[in-house]
Amino acid sequence: MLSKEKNEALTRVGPGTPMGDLLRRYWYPVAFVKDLDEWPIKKVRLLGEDFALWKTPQGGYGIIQERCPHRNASLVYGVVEEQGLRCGYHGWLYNCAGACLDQPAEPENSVFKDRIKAFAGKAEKLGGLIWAYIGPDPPPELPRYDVFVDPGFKDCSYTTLPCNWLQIMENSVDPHHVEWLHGNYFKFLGEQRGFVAPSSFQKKHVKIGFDAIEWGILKRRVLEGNSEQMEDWAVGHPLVFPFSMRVGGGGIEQMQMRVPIDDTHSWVLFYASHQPPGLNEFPDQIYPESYELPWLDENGNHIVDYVEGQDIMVWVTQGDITDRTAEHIGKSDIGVVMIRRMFREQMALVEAGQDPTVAFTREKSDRIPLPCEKDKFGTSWLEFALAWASQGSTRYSPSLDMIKKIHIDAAAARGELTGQKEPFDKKQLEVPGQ
Amino acid sequence: MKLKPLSAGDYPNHVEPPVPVRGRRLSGTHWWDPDRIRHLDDLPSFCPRCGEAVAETGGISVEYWEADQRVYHTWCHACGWVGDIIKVDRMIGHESED
Repeated sequence: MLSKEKNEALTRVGPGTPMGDLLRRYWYPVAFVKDLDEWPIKKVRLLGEDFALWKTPQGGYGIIQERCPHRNASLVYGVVEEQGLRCGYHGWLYNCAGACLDQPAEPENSVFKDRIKAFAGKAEKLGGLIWAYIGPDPPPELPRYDVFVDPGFKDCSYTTLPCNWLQIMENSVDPHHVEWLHGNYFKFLGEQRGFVAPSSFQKKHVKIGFDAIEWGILKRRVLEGNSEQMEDWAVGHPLVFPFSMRVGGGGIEQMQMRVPIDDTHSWVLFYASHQPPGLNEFPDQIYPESYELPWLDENGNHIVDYVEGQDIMVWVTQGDITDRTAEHIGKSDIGVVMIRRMFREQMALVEAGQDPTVAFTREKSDRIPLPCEKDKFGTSWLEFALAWASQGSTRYSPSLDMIKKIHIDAAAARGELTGQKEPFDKKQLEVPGQ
Repeated sequence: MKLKPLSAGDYPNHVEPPVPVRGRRLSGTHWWDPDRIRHLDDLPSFCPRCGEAVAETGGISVEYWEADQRVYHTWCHACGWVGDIIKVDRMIGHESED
């Protein structure tokens, strides 16, 4: 339970709010590279502010306040030129830094344009996504997490949810929900509707643990019948501060991202890299596969017969900003307690004029490895991967058949299907520096 | 079963922000109001180590329950102290297992 004031402080993300100031110190995905290749300007809402994102003829990206400083028309309906983005209304031209370069209707020798500066952020591409930074200079490095740069078949589902991003993040440090929401509830649905729910999610949690790490909070679990030597505990997987969770297993590596659009909307992405050991090459892709997820049926009821649909049901039904003055949390929710404290600590640093210390880096890196278990729930890799593909959001992927084939081919290459080859040596998984 | 992929906008849930905020937040009186009041009554005012005001100086106390206890997990921004603060209503020794 929290006081109303603390709940407000932790959930309001607009400009000038304490949480908004903290969140503005990080990079966020705001579009797919494909989007701007198809049309070079896109409207973007991030942290309660509206922007025009555009692709420059040179192949870079700019992000600028949506409203033209002249008379507030939308720059989303602008014209992309060599030097920047020109407003469609009266032709004022802005470069990627927000400087006004041209005001065609003003007198030729006017210096008026020199007094005009639009707010501009930074935009870069990574992993088929365009990332934006709208905080103070100098920006931190865009973290090149492993899942975005490693070879693999990339598949990304997404949707916009009418709820605050924090309640989604709290779900990432709540291991027990897996056993109940994705286990017991899924099993109940299967019994009612005549399908078999994945048994691996039904295992009872014996122990959970959380460690603060450089990138967020590392979450560990021991399931009934398993031990602390198994990767669910020995390795775990992290909440990646302040808006992501790195998860995976069975040759699937995933980053789940919850971009705070504003106080009551989040752009949720499930970005997966299918890279099972046994395969060295993956199907060519110009862009990551990307597709919008359904989560309400034609009657307005939640679609709950897949894993992410169950999560979405919970996040959305908690309310647009869940009322934490009305909650009753217990010892099994200590991960939730911990993430609230971490957010408050990081907010305090920014309020004091300092940089955040979690998942904030000024060091260039080609690849940031994150700890993430490969052996999941003590289940075979192929079984886990196929259950993930068939009973998770990947079932909506236009590349579903391709993804299943990747995992089956990899299992065959590892000798798991025929038994003719030596069992796969897990040392192949070891990544230098990880 | 492979489901037919739909394009953006085909789904009933497709949302293009901004949309009107749905009126999900509750108002009126509720069964949990006494808990909410107790939360505010017992919210730690001062850090047990440095004595600074916890809330006013940017700290946080999150309440969770363990058995009969209401635990305030508290972080003091002023001195960095982290710990659990528990209001004791009754001194309990060994509890029976029943």
